[in-house]
Amino acid sequence: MPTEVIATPRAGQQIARLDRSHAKAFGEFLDDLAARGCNALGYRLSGPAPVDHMCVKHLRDSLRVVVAFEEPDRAWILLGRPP
Amino acid sequence: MTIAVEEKRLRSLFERVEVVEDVARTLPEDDERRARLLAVSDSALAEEGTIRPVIAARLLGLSERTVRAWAAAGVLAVARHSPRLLLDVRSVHAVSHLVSELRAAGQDRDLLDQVWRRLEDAALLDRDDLRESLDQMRRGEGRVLRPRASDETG
Repeated sequence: MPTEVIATPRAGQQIARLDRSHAKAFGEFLDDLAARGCNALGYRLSGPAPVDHMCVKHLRDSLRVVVAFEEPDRAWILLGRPP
Repeated sequence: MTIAVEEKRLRSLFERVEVVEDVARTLPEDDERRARLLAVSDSALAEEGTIRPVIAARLLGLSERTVRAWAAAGVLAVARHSPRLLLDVRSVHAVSHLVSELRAAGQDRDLLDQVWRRLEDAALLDRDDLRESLDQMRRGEGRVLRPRASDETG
């Protein structure tokens, strides 16, 4: 499902600090997320709302991205940094 | 104390703690009574302190070998290594919740990986940066990184 991808200012700060190789992996992930929506994600977090609308994708090395779906076609990047 | 008696005593402790936790979770997150009830249940577990792997195995419905492997992997917190391995009761209790939930959901495969993932998730949800980011999302503060494809094309 084509999906709009938005980053919060906090996530934006983290994304801006990624080195070149991680930024490349992150960019590819954004393209995939925009094209396929939740199918691009690894797994959904467990817990009450809004946690049950949050998903995690492990990218390169220890880089982990946390995404929340406000709507099925509107995704927010909440975190984009190593743990 | 025999294994059976110790298991019965700890199973009873877990059940009492869970009753308190269940009541606490019916209260709003910002209610002070909720925090106090959870503190009471936590201190009851903390007073018990440690648990033998054989007892933990019985409570978790796993083999003792698996429990020892989970301790070695860091999923179960070790309270003492010598002269014999003792596990942290609070850790065993927390993992017992996860194992029960996963079994209830029929997700018995790769139990170690799934429990580990849930523990990582719990740690993730405690992070200040994630909370800040969630607040920003609720306020609608964000920058579009990729527009929806249909929007882009017109």
